[in-house]
Amino acid sequence: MDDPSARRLSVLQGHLRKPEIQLNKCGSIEASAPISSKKTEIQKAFPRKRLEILSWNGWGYKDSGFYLNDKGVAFFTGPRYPLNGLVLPLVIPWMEQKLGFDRTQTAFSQPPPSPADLPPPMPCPSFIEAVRPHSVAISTDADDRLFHSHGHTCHELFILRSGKIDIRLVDAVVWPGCHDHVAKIVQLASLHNICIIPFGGGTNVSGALECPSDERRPIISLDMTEMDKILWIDEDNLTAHVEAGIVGQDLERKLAERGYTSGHEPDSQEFSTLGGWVATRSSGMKKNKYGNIEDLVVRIRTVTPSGTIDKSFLGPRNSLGPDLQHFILGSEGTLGVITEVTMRIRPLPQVRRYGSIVFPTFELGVEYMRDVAKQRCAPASIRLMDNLQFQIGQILKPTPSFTTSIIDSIKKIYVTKFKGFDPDKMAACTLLMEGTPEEVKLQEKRLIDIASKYNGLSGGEENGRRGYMMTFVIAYIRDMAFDYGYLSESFETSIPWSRVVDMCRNVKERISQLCTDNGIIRPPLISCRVTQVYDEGACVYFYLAFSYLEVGMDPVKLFHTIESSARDEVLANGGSLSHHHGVGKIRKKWIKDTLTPTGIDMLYAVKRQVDPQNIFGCANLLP
Amino acid sequence: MAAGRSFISNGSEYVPLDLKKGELSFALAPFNPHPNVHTEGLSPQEVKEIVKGSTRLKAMIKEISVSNGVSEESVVKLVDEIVDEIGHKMALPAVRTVAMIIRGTLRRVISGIYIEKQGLEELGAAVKRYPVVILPSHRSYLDFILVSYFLLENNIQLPAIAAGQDFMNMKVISSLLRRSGAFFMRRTFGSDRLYKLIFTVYMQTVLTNRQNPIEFFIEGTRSRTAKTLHPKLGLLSMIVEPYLHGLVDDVLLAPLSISYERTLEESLFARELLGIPKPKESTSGLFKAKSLLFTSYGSIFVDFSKQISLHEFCIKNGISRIPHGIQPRNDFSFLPGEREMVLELGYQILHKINKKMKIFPSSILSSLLLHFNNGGVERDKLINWMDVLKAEIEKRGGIVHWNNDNSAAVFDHCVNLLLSSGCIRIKDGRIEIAKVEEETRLRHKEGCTVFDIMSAQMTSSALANTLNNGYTELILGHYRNQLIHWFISESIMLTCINGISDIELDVLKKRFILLSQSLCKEFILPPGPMEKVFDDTLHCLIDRGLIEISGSLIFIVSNEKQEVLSSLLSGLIRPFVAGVWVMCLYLESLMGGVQSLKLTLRNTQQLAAKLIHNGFIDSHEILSLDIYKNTIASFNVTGILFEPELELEGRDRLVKVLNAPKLKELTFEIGAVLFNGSPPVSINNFSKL
Ligand SMILES: Cc1cc2nc3c(=O)[nH]c(=O)nc-3n(C[C@H](O)[C@H](O)[C@H](O)COP(=O)(O)OP(=O)(O)OC[C@H]3O[C@@H](n4cnc5c(N)ncnc54)[C@H](O)[C@@H]3O)c2cc1C
Repeated sequence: MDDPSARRLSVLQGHLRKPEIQLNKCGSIEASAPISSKKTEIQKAFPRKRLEILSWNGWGYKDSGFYLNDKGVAFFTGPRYPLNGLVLPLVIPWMEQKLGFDRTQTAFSQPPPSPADLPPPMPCPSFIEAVRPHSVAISTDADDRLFHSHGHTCHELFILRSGKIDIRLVDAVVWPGCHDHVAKIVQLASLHNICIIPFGGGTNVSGALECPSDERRPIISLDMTEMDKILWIDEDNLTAHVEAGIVGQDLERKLAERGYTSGHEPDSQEFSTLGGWVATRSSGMKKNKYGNIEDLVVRIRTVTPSGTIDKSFLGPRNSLGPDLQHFILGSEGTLGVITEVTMRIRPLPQVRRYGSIVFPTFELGVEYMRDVAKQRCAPASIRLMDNLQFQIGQILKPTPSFTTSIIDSIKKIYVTKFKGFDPDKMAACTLLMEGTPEEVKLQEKRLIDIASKYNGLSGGEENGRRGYMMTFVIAYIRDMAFDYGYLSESFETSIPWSRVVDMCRNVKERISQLCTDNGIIRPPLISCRVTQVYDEGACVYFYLAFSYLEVGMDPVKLFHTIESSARDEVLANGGSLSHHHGVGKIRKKWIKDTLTPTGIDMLYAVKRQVDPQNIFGCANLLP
Repeated sequence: MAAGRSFISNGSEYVPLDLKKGELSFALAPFNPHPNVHTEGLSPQEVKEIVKGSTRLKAMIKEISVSNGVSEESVVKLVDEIVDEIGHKMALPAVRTVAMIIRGTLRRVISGIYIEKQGLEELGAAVKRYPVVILPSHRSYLDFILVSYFLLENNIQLPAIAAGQDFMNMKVISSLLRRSGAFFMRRTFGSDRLYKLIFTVYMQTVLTNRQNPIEFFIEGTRSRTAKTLHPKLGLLSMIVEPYLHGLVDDVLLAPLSISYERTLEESLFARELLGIPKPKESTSGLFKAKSLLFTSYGSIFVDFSKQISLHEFCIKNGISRIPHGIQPRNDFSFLPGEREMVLELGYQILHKINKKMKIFPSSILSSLLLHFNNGGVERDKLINWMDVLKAEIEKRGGIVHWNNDNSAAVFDHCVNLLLSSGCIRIKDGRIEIAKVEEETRLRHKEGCTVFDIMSAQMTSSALANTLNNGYTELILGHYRNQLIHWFISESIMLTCINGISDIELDVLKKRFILLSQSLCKEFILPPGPMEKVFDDTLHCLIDRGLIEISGSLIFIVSNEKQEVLSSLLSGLIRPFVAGVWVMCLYLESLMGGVQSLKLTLRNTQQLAAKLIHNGFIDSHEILSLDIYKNTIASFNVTGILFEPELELEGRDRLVKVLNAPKLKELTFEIGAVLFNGSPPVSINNFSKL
């Protein structure tokens, strides 16, 4: 690996194999062969028929989730996760006490709809026939259509679970196998005037994949996940050229086999795709070390109805007028299909170390984060959880003594200093450091030194590790919450440092007031964390959950009211409309005020020019 | 609160404050209010430190040191001094001490203090969660400590109170108040940027810290006339700013109506209005007789309005915080529309305070006595009319406190109150306004000009007598004024019609608008454009059966009771209208010259005295300097006058007529309204234009 000549050789081999691979029906270069040929047993994150292993009405794998056993104790099951079988005796008592949780009140999901219950597809036989030679597969099966017609916002899942699925569905799903397939399909769609909605992992939380109910043309979902090959890796320059349908976990696994990582790690990494990241301007947990998606991409190939947008060089930066790639980053499926991406890669770090720091209050924690940002010494990831999340972190574990363990362990170490820590006020920061052992050591020392200025005490590695391990299973909690009549959602924003603390408090206050005003009886859960630091501000992530069972109002409407007012409050406090979730449909109504009408006109002008027929008619982003 | 029995009055439950409880048990009662959930619990000293360390202040210190060429340390030193001058040092023992003094005094002179229960509970709940600003009406110095006292008794977090600087000259009192939570504000700080910033940051730090609610008086000063004053917006703006900048998610504004059946300072106020600082030797007997300890001051009621959420108010007024998101937070300036919103908010608060102010029967009786002011009125007539006026107030939404089912008993109760204030007397079974002195009044001659009257001699003892006789009427006026706001635009309209058999709609409208404009600083008029107020008032009077319309002519309904009622209602503001007229006359006599404000007021008062002395006007209330201050302010708004304030900062302000034709028109119209079309004093000799 360290021998540059060997690296060059592997790149060269890729090129030399070209002629053989041209037999591939896509007629494009496939360089994944030399990579994957080493380990033939590599599986994909999920098969083309996703419902074979993925949940139809909730997050992730259908064999994974949180449930209550017959004693009313919560446990996690999920054979793919290290936490499989974890019993959590503290969760339910805590929820009963804090949220008025009542396990006798249930709202389980309706069974999956039978094909007959769903609206029949709008036929478009001539288009389908024309497309068939240019795709790996085509489906008009009801389950495929349903799965491809939603993302992961609370209201989308609520509708699925309710059994009353009266939403517009895509009429067919098409799986292209390569860039040329896509180019052909888009051309045919223009010819037949068909609407196309690109589909990656389907994990967005902005309503981006909802079909516009007034779309009269047939809608085709372009499922990108067959385009999952790493086309080449350039070890001299540390770049890789990758097809955009690759799912995050597959990308990382394949890169890791060669000793690399992309470093892009959104919490949805198991299911979201490279193309989806680009299309939504996503942000990964480790952006401090690796950058956000816009920092990671070097070249983007995009098929639009008026042709392919690309560039002819791989230089790291250029001064060629406005960066056209930024029209694609965050385009949310409105302009075309991202087919291939050249991205930066990094050697896998030698050491990955976790850490945690506790602070007497959230406010002090924020001051700490601000200082770390000022000194530009943030580790790969640094997150600050508010008191509620700190408490939740303490109950999401098998030990029967709630909040004691971390507190006790810290108490033991700092007998005298620990005074002034109130378990109902303290906040915790988790750290993830990557690099050489020396780098990591130095970094950790510096971070803990700074923390002492803000009365922060190190809470040890284990608490940090657990924090990050929970990341991937936390998404399953919402489904259990649904089962017991709770609606929950997360939302995020970016905001200048000086406003972080006030915004967090104000938004929480506003929501809890709104909940009261709307007749929500049980105490809602509103919690936040600072998940990213920048020079001038931070990303703040909120969780919101409340029980709708006692409220007479239509739950979806109720949820919209509260979510929308919460966003109003975020904006009123100087927060942005979104840090990384994107606009989609649910945040469209604010975009004009955010970017000025002239700014929006610029976007419209591009849209009109690139896609005059509105083939990419998902109706995201633009008001 | 271990207090006496609660009772229901006008649909609200009241709890009495226990004034009788022993001193010891009062002093030892536990006080451990629930702190605001968001407070960091800063001590008064810590608040000061935060103020001193604020980025805003630091930036200004740098700036001043550079621009004035002085060292930063010297500016910092100045800042420290100012912060100490402002800051409160709240400490529980001091509050208890002050409360005990107040209890000790009040126990002997009043019959009870009653707090509306639900409002109190809502306030208690609000201070646990929100930044709260308590906004009481301000009729007495007692207000300063009353709120703290009943919050102390009810285990609710005590307020930090914005107090005027006048207290600061009284060493002992100011230190006691400071320790009871008062923080001090200089009366004017217009051009002193540093002071203004420090005060602003101080107030905002107290607000956002949420340790204590803030209390201040939206009217700025005690209302000597007991009329609601126009809102002062300085402090209110300081409260609005942290909300617009997102430092707090909301501020709850709690209007508080403190109604005194008798104002403790009634005689003080009357003297102040007349501008006679110390009672003359000849009248001192009267003042002595009213020594606090032996008089009854009736009861005190505290009523709450529904709290105003600043957040909701801003939304309703289309004010968004978003535009402030692109300003740095240490640099605040109001954006378009926001000042107007604050003004609107100020009036909204006063409106709420007013609505909940109790109307006591003594106000009604005072109104009747001032109106039927001719040689005494019989008891039965008064009782009868008291019932009528009570009903009229209630029809308009006012809350009248009848402390007995039997109107005669109510009547006796307030006659006693007024007797003890010395402003009425009973003579031959008739009730009449007490005169301090017997004054000789001349019969007025026909065809006088202002000039004649001004140049007529009036002996200094006659002048003194006339002024002193203003005293009792002004006390009664103080009580009458408390009910005027329920009638104000009706009174203005009836004034324009009164005494005339019929009037053209157009003429009425013109007069109504002229008069309203001239009284715009004297009273708080209904919001909205004058035309709309006119239409609303017209319809209201028609609906109430007080006037009739036929074609384009308006009549007063000719039914005896209604006629008396009409004249009673217009009579409520007659002294003020007369005051405007006197002011007009005086300004006419100025003939375009410039004069200092102080002198203008004095001279106008003298003119008023002469008009009374010569029998042109009955009401002694026109001797009140306050009327002329307000009229000048109104004239400034309407453009009749202007005060070239800026040219002469620091010195006495100047008065100059700006729009002589308009003044002339007004003089004529008001004269016509007051004297049924033929004013007894003309201005002709002076009409140079
Ligand atoms: C539990 C959970 C955790 C999450 N954590 C994060 C996080 O940490 N960071 C973050 O940034 N986001 C996060 N998200 C949001 C979501 O995962 C991201 O928006 C992600 O980038 C979406 O990728 P996807 O492949 O699932 O796209 P999809 O949901 O399939 O599509 C999203 C939008 O992109 C368009 N699109 C997809 N692929 C293409 C393509 N190839 N060409 C053109 N348009 C395309 C679609 O048409 C659609 O408009 C999270 C979501 C969930 C539910």
